[in-house]
Amino acid sequence: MGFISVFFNVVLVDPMINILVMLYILCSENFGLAIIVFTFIVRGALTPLSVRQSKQFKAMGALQPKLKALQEKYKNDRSRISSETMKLYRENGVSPLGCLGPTFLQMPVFFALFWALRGTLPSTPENLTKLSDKLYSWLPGINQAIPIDDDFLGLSLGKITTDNPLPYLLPILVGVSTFFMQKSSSPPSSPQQESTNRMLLWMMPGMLGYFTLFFETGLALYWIVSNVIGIIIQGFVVGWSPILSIFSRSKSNDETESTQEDKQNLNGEENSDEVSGNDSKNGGRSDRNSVKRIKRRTQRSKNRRNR
Amino acid sequence: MSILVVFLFIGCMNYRANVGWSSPVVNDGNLYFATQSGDVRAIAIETGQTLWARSLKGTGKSRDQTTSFYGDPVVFNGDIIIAGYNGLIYSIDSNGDDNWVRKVSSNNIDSDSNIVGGVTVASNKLLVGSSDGYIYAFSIEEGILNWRFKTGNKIWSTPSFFEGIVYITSFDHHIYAIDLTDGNLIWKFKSDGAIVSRPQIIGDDLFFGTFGTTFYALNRKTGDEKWRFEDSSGWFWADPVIFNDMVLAPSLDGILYALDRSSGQIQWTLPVQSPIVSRPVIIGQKFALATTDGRVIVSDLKTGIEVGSCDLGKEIRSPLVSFDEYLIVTPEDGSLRLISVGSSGDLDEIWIYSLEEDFLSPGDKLWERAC
Repeated sequence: MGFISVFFNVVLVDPMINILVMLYILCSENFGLAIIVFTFIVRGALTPLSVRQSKQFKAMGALQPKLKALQEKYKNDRSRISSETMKLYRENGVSPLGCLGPTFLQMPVFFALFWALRGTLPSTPENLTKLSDKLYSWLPGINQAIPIDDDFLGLSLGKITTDNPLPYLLPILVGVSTFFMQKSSSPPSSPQQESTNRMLLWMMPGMLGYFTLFFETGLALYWIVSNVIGIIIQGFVVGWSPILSIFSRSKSNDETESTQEDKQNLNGEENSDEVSGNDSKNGGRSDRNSVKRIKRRTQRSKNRRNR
Repeated sequence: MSILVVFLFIGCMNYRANVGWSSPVVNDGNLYFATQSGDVRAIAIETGQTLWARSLKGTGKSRDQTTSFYGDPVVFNGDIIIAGYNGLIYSIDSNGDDNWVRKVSSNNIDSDSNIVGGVTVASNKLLVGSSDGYIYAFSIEEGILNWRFKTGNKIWSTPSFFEGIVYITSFDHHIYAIDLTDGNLIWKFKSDGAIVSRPQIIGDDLFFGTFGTTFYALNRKTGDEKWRFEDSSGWFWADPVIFNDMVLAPSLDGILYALDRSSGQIQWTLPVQSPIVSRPVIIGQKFALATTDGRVIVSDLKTGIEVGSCDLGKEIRSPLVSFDEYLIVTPEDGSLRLISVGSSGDLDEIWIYSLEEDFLSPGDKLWERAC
């Protein structure tokens, strides 16, 4: 355990602390700007993973109508549903674990970021004494930059959010941005999971907003900026339909229509190429491209079987 | 993803709060000290028995809340004066009763006025620096504000006083010399980093170290630089100690530097492999220092060679206190330990004062002798 902790600190947390302090120096000693730039860098570095994850979600989303139809078709045979589902995923190059992999890879980075932000803005004198040990003294001007001036737009980034003016503004922004982030990146789910997902969609932003009340303002700023960047990335990769659907009143009607259409498609094997999901109805060009790709994969798979 | 993040947040909620690193003060055979639980106690050194304990609370909205203490108490005419992290200065008489309580604040925002340094008695005034950037001078009898002086950033150090001049260091990289009578600036000197160490003065010389990893010697009357030492790779946090022609400069890089007082040349170094936040003390021809990993080390002053040590196993950031051949150590487990230093440098624990048990003697079952 000790080794993991040392490894975690030396490989992730300490470099992040030094990057944050150097960005603070480069941003004219504005730590708010440093956090924003840092968030862009981290998000940029994780973009390949995020994009891959989004594409997996999207591919799964495109298969949802087929899955629903499968569940309907084999509703009395659970093992058949399971095997057919896996078969469908395999045929279309979708890996449910592949969707979660990038998330797990990102977790150590988020953990490290959390501690790096706290290490850079120590809340107690005891913690400030530990910062010297973490700074690379060979970096020019790094020791001279301490202590960090944590003032940003009238907020003290090192203070707990409730100690700042407008104490509830940032928790609310964290909650709202998390809601939109979740909405844009929720993996598609079966009808059984639908209610759980819907509950999480509302519960998680609430909980995160609540937790923000007890954490440093700098962390809240990081979280908000990170969410905004994440939403934009999702928007460009998956399309804006998940977000726009929040404001769309006709969403439920569209869902019903497409589900019925997909059922027909699955029952008639020869028509199975005409898969059409919610996203392709609502979404832009990228949605249609994705569906085409899945169609091509399905066709190739069929051809192989026939041979 | 979100669930994992929530677990992360919950796991991180147990973040370390202020503990404090105030040390005791010795007066008339008694020890006066602030505890981590926010009270001030008086104990008899010889027996380790509690004479009185007084819980110190906040005022106004925080009247039910205790506070942490970082600065050492001072004793003046039998009264104990101590500053809390909550920005309050408490004056208590020798029986533990209140004399007065004053709030240090340039405005009404409580959180900006944390006090990390200690109080200094200078003539009839009480001096204290605050995180709001001000150094305050109060009348010592009634705690009435005489003057205050604004620096450019937080003050976490204890003011020094010599021949009518107050010296105070600040996070704004400056050291200021201020007239005690009216609080007017005499001179200021810009260093290469934030400063939390208390300036030490001897003759015309003044010494302090910075976060910029530089240790300075100035002329205390003019503020002119005499020399600087730049070989440390860590911040200078602990107060330096002067002994004859030598200046002991403890660094957070885990090395104690012994510098020549007139030239700043290294006499010897003592690497201890752990940051030194605690102020060392001189005991005869030896000195003792404590490391943040919990060791107390006794070394020879001429050579720096270690002659005795003891591992308490708890972090130590509080300044060491010495009287006669005894050391008082305050590790972060909240205990207070009286340790005798033998002529050869061997350490022997006399008693432990534990907050939970009040007092533990060598005969007690819970007694765990570290040295």
